[in-house]
Amino acid sequence: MFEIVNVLKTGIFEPNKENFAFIDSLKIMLRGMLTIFFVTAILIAFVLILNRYSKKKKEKEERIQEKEMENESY
Amino acid sequence: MGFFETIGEAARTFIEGNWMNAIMWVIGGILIYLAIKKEMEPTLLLPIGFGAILVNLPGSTIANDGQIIKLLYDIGIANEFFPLVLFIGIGAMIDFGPVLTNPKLMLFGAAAQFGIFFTLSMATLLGFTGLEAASISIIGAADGPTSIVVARELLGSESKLFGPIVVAAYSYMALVPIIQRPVVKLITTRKERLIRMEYKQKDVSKTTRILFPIIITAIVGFVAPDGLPLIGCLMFGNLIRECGVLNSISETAQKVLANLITIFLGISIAATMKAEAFLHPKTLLVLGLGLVAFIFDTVGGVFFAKFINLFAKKKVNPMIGACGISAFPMSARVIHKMGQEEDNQNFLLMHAIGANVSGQIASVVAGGLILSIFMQFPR
Repeated sequence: MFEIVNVLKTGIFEPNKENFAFIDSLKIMLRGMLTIFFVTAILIAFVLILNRYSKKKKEKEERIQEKEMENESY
Repeated sequence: MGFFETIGEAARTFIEGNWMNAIMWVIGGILIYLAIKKEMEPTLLLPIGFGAILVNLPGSTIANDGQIIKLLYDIGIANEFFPLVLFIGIGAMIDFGPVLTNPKLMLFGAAAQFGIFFTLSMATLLGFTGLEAASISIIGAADGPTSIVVARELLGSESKLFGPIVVAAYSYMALVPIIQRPVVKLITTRKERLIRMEYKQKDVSKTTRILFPIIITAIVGFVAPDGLPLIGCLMFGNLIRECGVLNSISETAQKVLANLITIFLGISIAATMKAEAFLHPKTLLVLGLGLVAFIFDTVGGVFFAKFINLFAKKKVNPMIGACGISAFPMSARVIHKMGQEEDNQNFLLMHAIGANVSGQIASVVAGGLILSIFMQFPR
């Protein structure tokens, strides 16, 4: 598995450092855009998780507040 | 010989000896004109323009070793101090609120980095070496400090391409309204430009605002460790802003620090604009490729938005994709204005700002990535 990944990586993504040519720039384009979208996807996931956590926390706090108010009114 | 003939002869000799300098005065004059008359990035174009004239006056030694401009250059640009410190100020200015409210906008920031990689290929086709092509392509990050850091790391500040790359990066940032408008109009239909986008105001918790810069730094550090100085400084500035306990420092970073560094940065960039170093055929190619980078950033963002529209229930106005470039807030303003010109009830500003801020993050990620890949290349 590791070997396949390694071959794929060096074959598709690894540019020729000595004789950099057009085809190498295309490899970097592919690698670059995929990496940027990958990083972006992780960031989006993190923000969505954080937003959901914050929302739940806020709802919980509101519920506690409501309960306290109900108790006070009794 | 009559008086006028003597004057004419003197003028001819002067022009013959200084025609290259004269071209630099014209370039400096144009930059000053754009800064004052058109109010395009005046904080940078004015000092760069004035500096270009200053270092090219006959007999000027102001950019020689030990002189003020060279000193500023050595202190702040040759070692990347100015651009990185400026990033702290920029980070403190950025409100990530619109992105945190609608994180999907980050996708447009990612898509609009396409121009960088497209330009890399074009520069390679034109015969530039890998390191040169990568340094030129980073103009497409639409971010002056990133361009300075990447070009300096890959080429060194003594390279003849360094000056043109930095000048192109800042000039095109200033010209975003002129560049993006026709490109967006060309690749979108009126029907697409009329698409309205609903904006729901949501509260973003303080925890999210504080964790966001830390998480970005950690992820980028993992994926592109050579980009850590860039993203680290930017996010440090943002953390100062969002933590809520360093308000006076945040204000200083946003105003005093950023202004001070901008003044020094602009004038010291002029050290790279000596006629004999700046005026060579490759400069024209760099300027041309810089324009290509900005155009294809815009194209990448717009076409990605169109692609999303193929599947999305709620359609995205494709013009928002163009805001994915880092030129903040010019790009967002241009697109909002274009939306209003088509339909004065179409308010795209918050979406545009969200995409624009995302572009700032993505451009730094792209810069870090280019550094990480090309730092391994032989010099």
